[in-house]
Amino acid sequence: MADYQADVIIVGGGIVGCATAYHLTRAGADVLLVERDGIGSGASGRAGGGVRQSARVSEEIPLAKASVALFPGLSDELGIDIEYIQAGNLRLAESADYRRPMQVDVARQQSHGLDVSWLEVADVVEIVPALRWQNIVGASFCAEDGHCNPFRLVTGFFNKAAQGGARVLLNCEVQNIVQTDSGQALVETPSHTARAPVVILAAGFGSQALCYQIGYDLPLANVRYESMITEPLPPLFQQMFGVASSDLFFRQTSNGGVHFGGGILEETGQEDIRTTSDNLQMAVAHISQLVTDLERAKLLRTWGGLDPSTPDGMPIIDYLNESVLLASGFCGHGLATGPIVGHHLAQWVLEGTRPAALAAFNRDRFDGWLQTKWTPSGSFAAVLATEDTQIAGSGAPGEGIPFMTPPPYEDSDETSGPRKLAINPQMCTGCRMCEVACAIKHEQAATQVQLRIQVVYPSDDFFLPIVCIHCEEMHCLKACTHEAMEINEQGVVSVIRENCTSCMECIFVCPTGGITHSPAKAAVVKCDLCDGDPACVRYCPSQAITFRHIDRPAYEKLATLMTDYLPARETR
Amino acid sequence: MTPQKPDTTEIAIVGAGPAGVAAAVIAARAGAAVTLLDENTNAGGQYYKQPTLAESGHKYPNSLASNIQQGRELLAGLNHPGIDLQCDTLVWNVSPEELVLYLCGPTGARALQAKRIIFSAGAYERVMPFPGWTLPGVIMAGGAQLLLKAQGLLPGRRFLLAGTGPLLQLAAVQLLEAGADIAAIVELQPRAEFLRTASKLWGHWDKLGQGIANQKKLLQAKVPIKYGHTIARALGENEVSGAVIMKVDGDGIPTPGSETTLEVDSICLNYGFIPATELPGIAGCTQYFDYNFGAFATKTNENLETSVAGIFAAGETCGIGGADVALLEGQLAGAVAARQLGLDPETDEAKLCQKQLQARTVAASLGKMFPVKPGLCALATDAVPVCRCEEISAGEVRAAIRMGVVQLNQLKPWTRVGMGRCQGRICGEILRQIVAHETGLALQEIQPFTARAPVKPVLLEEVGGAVADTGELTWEDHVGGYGVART
Repeated sequence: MADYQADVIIVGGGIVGCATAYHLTRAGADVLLVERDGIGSGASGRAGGGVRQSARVSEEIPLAKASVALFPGLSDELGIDIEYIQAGNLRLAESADYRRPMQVDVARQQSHGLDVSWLEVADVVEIVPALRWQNIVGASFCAEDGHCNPFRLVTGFFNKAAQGGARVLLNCEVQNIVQTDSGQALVETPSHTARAPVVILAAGFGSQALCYQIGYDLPLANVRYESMITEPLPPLFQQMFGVASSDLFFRQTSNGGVHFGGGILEETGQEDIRTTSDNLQMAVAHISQLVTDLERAKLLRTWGGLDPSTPDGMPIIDYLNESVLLASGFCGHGLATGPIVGHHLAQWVLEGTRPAALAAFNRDRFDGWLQTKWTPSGSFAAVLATEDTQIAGSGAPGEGIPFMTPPPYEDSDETSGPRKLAINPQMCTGCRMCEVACAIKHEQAATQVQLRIQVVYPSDDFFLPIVCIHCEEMHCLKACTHEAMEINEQGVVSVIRENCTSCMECIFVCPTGGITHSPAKAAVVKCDLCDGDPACVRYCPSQAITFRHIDRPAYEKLATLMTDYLPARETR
Repeated sequence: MTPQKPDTTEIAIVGAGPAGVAAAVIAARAGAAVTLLDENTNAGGQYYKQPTLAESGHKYPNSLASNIQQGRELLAGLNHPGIDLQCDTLVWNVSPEELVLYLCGPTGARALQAKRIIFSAGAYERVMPFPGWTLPGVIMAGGAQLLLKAQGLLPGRRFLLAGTGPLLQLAAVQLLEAGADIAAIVELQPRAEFLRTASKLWGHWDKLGQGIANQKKLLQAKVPIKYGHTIARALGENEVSGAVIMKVDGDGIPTPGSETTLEVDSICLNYGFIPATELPGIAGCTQYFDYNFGAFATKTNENLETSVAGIFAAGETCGIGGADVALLEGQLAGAVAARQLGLDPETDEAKLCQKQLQARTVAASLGKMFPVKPGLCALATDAVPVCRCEEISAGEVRAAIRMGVVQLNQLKPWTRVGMGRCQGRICGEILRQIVAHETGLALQEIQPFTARAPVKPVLLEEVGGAVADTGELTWEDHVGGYGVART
């Protein structure tokens, strides 16, 4: 017989667990909350405090919007001042390199109905005079974003849940969750057992070990966050800040301390809340360049944070079996989305059907994802790890992004002949997504980029992917004396690796740089158009590369461009 | 900010008290290049603090003069070409992998790489809160001693010394000889218990002799020593004008109705000491709970090596022991560190080890004589502040404990205790006592605050300035990935 019997057992006393407990108890459910350490002692309580909708992956924007709408009322609802300040979020660009990619990203977010805009530096310092304008080019600004005291938010939900009758086991680590014959799950801790028809697993990184026992390999990597805070200072700014070049964030808390920090992408296989001298000094050096006179403030404390991250930067919220409902891997976005996720989870448990708002976070999306070395949380390689995941706008390639001007190739009347890669350098933001997409497609790794396609950066605002343009002259085919080149019925020339002797003749004769040598393969490589579905086209966020019929003048213009900018390509 | 190569030394010693100085002298005489770091203006630590006044005939009380003289003799050993003494220098962080210390001092912020590091950072005085303990005029007994020693100042006219431990009586004698009026000494331990446990010192004539000599002087001056009493309240509006003392029972719980009011203008407290373990903590050195003194300390082996390769701990940092222990441990750590670097310190480490163990045994018996009693927490009524920096009251802490918050690291964000400028140095041990008292948990089950840089608040420019040269590393392209934009 179990020590505890409940309607729902929640494993994990972070923002998701506490918010869910609150909503469930409010609906009259009998809840048992089990937490390994203390309330908010994991990622939630250590968080940066940002409550933002902007700069999120597209699927998460609706959730973030709904959550932000809850925040202004939370202090009253929870009976605790969560120190919520809705003064906007500024994502600072420190060099011109970031201007275009960020403007594209602003357009993407606008297409999802977010009130985000691009501000030039003059407008940025007008909003925040305390910034060092010399080091800033501009910023994206979302006025509805803000920040709060993470710990008070979590404890607010916890207190309300406890007042509402939720039972709580703190300092009590769940060791196993087993499915019993009666259709209930049995939760085992060193000192207690508990039984319930539904177990919500919201233990952050700790969920991984429990999932593994259940038989689900939860794809989580632990990203280490480090936070620092200064002594209380006079009011400097109310906004939440991020930067485009790194993970640095900063805000001024309600007691005056400037809280700042950043993430370290380390695929540590375990929870890691260390703080290191290197990261401390880098973050301090970085923020000192952005905030005027901050170097004269005293650093008071530092602490380590947690950021359990999935390959695509979005949480996994799904049933693992009949009774275990997983909600983990919030990738550092849990604090902002937690309040609404708690609402939806409670609804899911009580009504038995998956709320539409959580549909994007199913676990099936990782089925069969390439087991390549992935970097966590929304990085390009990660997005590409699964063929089914779409970036930016979640539609088929070709859906319009308002910011974009129509590609000039639209003028082409040509509708016959083979389709080719049409590249529009005016659309290219230099994000190099194509390089990563190509590498994953052909090399199954994000490490050997720049082989078949490479973006050159001749100037600050001109980018051009250099790739085989599948010319009609086929210099390479003619130059090959080792029968290492073949042509298929679509007219695409490809390399027969076994025959290639790395004589490089084809590389020398190609005027547009379409062929490169891969030392790893000991052969030359070139674009093969991915059997009619080029990965670079599929994953280009700005539609700078399209796969279409192009006419002769456009094709010649492209060939000239490639030849002109070929010298800017890095030599390997 | 330009990354600069760290300075290098062979043996870096943090803390120039008895242990640090002894270690530096031994190691330097063996031929090692020693860098001795201390955040104070002069070497000597608290125990051998040297007067900052000019020597021009200032007359010190007898009990202080001998201490000052001993210190002067010890510090004379620092006059050695192998010792680079850097005072006014705060060590605010340590990288255990590369044995790099991060410093800020008169010449700015620097990194210092050593082949061996010895932490001999000393200890802090322990305080227990009561109504009025934050009034001006309430100070620590060790603090009063230092004012007297270093500045020749008496912090008040009429004193009450309260708490537990041998320091109270020693400080009383020194204040007395300096011309102060002592209203009373309030010792937590009951007289019978005190006499019974004092017998454990039988055979350790020097300690016993010091104690008896102090008692004799106090007796002659007719200073009342109230055994089995505690201070219960400090009186006064803006500063101390009096104190209420109470009897306590065996658990330290004050007996109602036993209040006596004393007219004093200064209250000196001491409830023993807490090892300063911030730097070993940041370095990841294993800590252990010292039952004799009821506090966490750094664990070492018989050669005073910590669990982190290349790092030693000596003196109070590895458990309260007093100046005698610190001197022996300093010598031992200095000798072992020098020998590990291939030098010959011409000492017999085995013999030092033996002497150090004996001294530790005596210290342990002294520690057992003066335990802090958890019942004292009853004095900290709900309105009494326990975290001075963030002004958090005992009531707020108790409310959190009732919600199931039983670890210091959990209490911290819940109530903001320990988040202020002292970084939990003062309130940490108070909180441990309160949690133990409220929950019945043993003191050793309550983990200390996680040790994190900076050890003490430092300017951001000092943090950014002390960049160790780690090759190609810049803040834009950190090897670990800092600088990778993510959405």
